[in-house]
Amino acid sequence: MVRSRVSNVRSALGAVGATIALASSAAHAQFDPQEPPAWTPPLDSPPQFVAPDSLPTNPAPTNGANGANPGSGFNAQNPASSLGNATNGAQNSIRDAASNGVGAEDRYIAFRVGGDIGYARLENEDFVSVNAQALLRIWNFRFGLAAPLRIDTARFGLRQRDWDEARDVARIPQCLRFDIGDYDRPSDRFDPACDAYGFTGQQSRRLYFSTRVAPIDNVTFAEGTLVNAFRGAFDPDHPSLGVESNVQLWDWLKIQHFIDDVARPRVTGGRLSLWPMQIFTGRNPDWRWDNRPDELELGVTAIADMNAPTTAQTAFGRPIVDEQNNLRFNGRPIGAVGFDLHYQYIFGQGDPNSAWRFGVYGAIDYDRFLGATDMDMVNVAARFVAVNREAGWDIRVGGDYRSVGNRYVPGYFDTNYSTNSQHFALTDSLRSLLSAPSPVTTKLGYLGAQPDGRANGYRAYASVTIPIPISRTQHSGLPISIFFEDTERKADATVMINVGPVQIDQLVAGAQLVRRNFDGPSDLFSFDGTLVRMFGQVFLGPQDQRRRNNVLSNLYFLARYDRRWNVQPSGSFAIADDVQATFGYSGGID
Amino acid sequence: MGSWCSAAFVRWALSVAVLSVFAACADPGPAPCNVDAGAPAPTAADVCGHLRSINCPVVDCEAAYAGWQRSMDIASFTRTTGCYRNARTCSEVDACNRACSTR
Repeated sequence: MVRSRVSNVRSALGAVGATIALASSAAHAQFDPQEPPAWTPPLDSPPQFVAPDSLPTNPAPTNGANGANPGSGFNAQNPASSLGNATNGAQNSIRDAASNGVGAEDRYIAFRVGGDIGYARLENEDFVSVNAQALLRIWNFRFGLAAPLRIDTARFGLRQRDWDEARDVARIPQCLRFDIGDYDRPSDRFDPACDAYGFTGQQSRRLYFSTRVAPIDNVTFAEGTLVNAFRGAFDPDHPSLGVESNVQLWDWLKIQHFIDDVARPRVTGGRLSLWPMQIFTGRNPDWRWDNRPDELELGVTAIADMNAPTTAQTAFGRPIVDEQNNLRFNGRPIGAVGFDLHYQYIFGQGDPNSAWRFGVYGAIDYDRFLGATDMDMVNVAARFVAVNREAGWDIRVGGDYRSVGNRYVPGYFDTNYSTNSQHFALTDSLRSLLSAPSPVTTKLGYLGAQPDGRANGYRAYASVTIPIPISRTQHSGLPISIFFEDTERKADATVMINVGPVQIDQLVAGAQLVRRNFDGPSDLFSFDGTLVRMFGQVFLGPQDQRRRNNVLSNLYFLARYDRRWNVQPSGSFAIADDVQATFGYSGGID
Repeated sequence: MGSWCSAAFVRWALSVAVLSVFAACADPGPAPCNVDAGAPAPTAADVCGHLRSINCPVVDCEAAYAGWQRSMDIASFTRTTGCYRNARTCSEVDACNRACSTR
């Protein structure tokens, strides 16, 4: 067996060499079956094409253990995000139609230019939004650039805060990336998600490396108990570019890594996951992940905030701010590690009499901050799984039990982290718990003041992918997921709802709602501290004709809504409702 | 090889590097608050102007100064504002609160 694996290693290394030499021979683009795709960027980013190729079509749920990730944000439970995403004929037919025989995959250089114009409302001010875009790919390097301009109609000038500091140049690079190895090369179109590419071939033979420079928008590790839909700074006045990298080594291991801001790195983390059954027993007889009934995954996570705010700097009892109204803090480094074990078993694999398969999924996660007491959590998850590969259904329902240290918050590095690490008491429920008046209470400051001890908690989880027919032989999938979690502590409840993204030929749409730190089910229906993101994009012509230079296929309407935190002149945070609606076109050689 | 790579040069370079690291890591500590007991407290314009000049602005600084003055004993207020006035960084300003104020 060992000899066999060594032989496989050699052959795979040879495959990599060939891949490098040929600049990748992958043919068809597809939604990444493994990585939860990021959300669309915040509104300060220019409205771009949401690359249809990056969205799930005809999801093929399988038994990949990492497909059951309740915390992975927008596409948390996208059933297509399992390792065993078997190639589906319908998917390929879409890609073939999109290619139209142009042979874009073989091009060494590709480019596109375009732009859009429309209306934007940002921090309660109205603007005319004008964006120019450019995309250039040379071999496996791809550069997506933009020049977003917001014109103040009252002053007839650019929005002042858009271009008033050096870091505003971070608005221009939208997605700079390098990918090598086995992946499905997508069309060279603007891709705001900037995720790792998928691969419709045999995952067990896949070697892949990807690194991207882009705003960090949605990073989740494992079950999301430590890193859950982490989003870098989303203040449109202070753009940031992070780095995200992925490695896959056959069906043996995967590595994820990210840095929140390349200019001012603060949060960085990574996860290494292994499939010991493949490594040690080689259980994958015909090289197809989805032919195995079971799946075991082991993971280890490490993450650090190199300058986590501890206390706000004050004078006269008031916070000190900088020139951009950011609060000034005293900080210290913090670090955490996590260990996870996931196992899934699907019954009836290979049964030709039924398309439905039923299974169970379980996971144990343990996360702990270093050098801290009761800053840890144990999470035990159980799910019921039902999949119908032919029709495209994927249903997962279950719950988690957790024991949470009093100084830990589930999903500590979350969507809100860039905000609530500085100013934790963002909701009425949390503010009511502060015993003494304080200008600013940081997350560490709040948690550090908690008494020793632990609390019990739970998470209820459900997801479904609804197949949506788009032709006689093709269907798209609409993933919907929701989880609700709470503990015995006050102001510790979270709800997250993800819908989409879904692509139905000319339509791309999605929505996400996140609400944290409220008082439980009785306080569920409130917008206090609720973040909402929605987007929709409609192309005016069929996407399978865009390679034929069909003008309508390259014209689009784009609309976005982003309810988010916004820094105030006092350094505090308030909710802002941003809206953008534009009309655009992009053309080129892809 | 050129003489620039001599042992003496290497020793000198290492010494500079080590000293630089120590200098960078050394905590200057809070600005002193040993203000003369009889000296008047710096004015609001003086303190707030200084805070702005070292890029540590406080929102509504003059109003904050007045409110702080009303609620604090004069000796503590004088020490703290004097410390603010002498601070060179925002961290030092913040440290003044702990070092000089009995509030």
